[in-house]
Amino acid sequence: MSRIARSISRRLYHPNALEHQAKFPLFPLTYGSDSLQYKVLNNTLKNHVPEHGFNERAIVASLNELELGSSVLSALGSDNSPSFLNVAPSVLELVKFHLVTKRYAITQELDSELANSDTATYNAPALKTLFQRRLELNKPVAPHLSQLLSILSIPGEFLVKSALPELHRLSDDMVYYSNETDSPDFAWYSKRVAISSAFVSSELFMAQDKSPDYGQTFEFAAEKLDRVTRLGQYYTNTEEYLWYTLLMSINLAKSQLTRC
Amino acid sequence: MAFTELLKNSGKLTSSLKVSLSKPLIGYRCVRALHSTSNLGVQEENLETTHFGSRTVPKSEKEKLVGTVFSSVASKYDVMNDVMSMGVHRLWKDHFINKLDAGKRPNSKEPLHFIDVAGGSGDIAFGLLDHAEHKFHDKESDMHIVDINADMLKEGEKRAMNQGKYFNDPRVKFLVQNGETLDEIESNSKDVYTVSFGIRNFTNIQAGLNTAYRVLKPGGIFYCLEFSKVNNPIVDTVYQQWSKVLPVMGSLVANDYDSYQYLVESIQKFPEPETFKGMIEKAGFQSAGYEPLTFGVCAIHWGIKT
Repeated sequence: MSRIARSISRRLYHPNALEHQAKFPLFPLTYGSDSLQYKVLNNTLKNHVPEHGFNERAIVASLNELELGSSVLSALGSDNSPSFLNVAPSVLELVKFHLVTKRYAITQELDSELANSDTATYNAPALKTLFQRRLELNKPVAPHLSQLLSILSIPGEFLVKSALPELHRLSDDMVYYSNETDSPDFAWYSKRVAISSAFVSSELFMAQDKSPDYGQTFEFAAEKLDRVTRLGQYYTNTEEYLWYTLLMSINLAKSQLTRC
Repeated sequence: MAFTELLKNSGKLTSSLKVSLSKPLIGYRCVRALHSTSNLGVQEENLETTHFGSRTVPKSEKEKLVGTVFSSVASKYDVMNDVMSMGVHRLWKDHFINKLDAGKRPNSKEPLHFIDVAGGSGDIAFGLLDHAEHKFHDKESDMHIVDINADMLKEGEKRAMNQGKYFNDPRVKFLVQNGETLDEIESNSKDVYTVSFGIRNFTNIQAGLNTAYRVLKPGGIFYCLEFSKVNNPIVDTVYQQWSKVLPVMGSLVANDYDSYQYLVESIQKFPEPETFKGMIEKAGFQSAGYEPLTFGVCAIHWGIKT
């Protein structure tokens, strides 16, 4: 009997690692970097989005360059449904591709650094560095950022299934790969939400930024992050104070009780 | 549910349902007797037998049986679809077409070559061409409408004639073909392969998928609308009750109980979405996926040939 219990508990607590192996290296994209979709979307994003923006014209221009037919557009968009205001599924995939590949780009080098170096001596970059690195990657598409953000914020399936989870993964990655201390309580959530909102507001700022090389955007982002950090400190201090007060009150009550 | 759609894809048949059923039943009993010694045998796919609804029949007979079913429902096809799905099948088809979003874009060079398999009634085929025309001003892409059942194809032609569009049009060809082989369709010749409520009636579904892979060009897409499994237990209870009513409605509206009974049973026999996705991948397609519609009453499946 105990043997069965032990084997069940082993099964529950030590599941087979292979069962959870991600099928696609660029999750949540359903294709790898050697696929047709990757080739087309990568070429679109690099060579045609800066000119045409996030729309079908950019993808068609890329398909013409690669000498592929219109059917590839259907193939690209197969994972998405058309959203409100008639954004084509293939364009949604382009947007998703942009978000996912840029997110992987900021951590790719860090991953190999982390693997090669000794954990004791490894110096993780600051959160601010990663944050700025991600904004740097937006520079080529900056003139089309307002278009991108409007596609991302249309209420609907895409917002719930792709845009918001991707934003959360971005802030989660930034915390994980930076030297930021992470806490296993409710602050885990509030920290990610704060960073996400800081990132979105920086992107909104960048969309209208006319300063040379987007200098003002980076100033804005730094200030925004500072505020998030300060807010975090306020939060920690308040929490500590409340906890202290609670314990104090209990002790006070206890001491009063022993007296009578 | 567009239950009548289940009935598509079949051999030529001229006889009425009752007459043609009498013969295969004899064969079916023998097969059933053989199976009872070994296994349940209903889902078992060996060389000799397959399922026709809840019955096990010799594989050679299924094509003919499905043919009988579709020939007998062909004329009432549209009315029954609307009655049985309460009109929802129009939404599914509309979503299917919008999601596929196919058509030659104004700046593209090559027109598209569509093939709609088991598409006798033509609603998906005409819908796709209309979408391409209205959205992308594409008047060049061509379409093969393929069905194994000549009666169903005639329904499609009749519809084309009535709407005054796509009849005697060089872009649209109606062909009687078996979806499992597509003998007259060249390999690597099609951009978009669609099959809606048809693949369920193939005797060998895997062979149909392999053929889809064969006829598609690299970069082409396989797109399938089919009944699926309802995953919500409450909705499923309602759905199961509804399924029981369907044959009765079939006998009232179309005077044909047996055909609609087959529809319901063939839906229950169709593989789970995950299994079907595995079959699509097995045929060689990449990035296969599916989207359940209306709690999984039906689902859109896709795969890409690269």
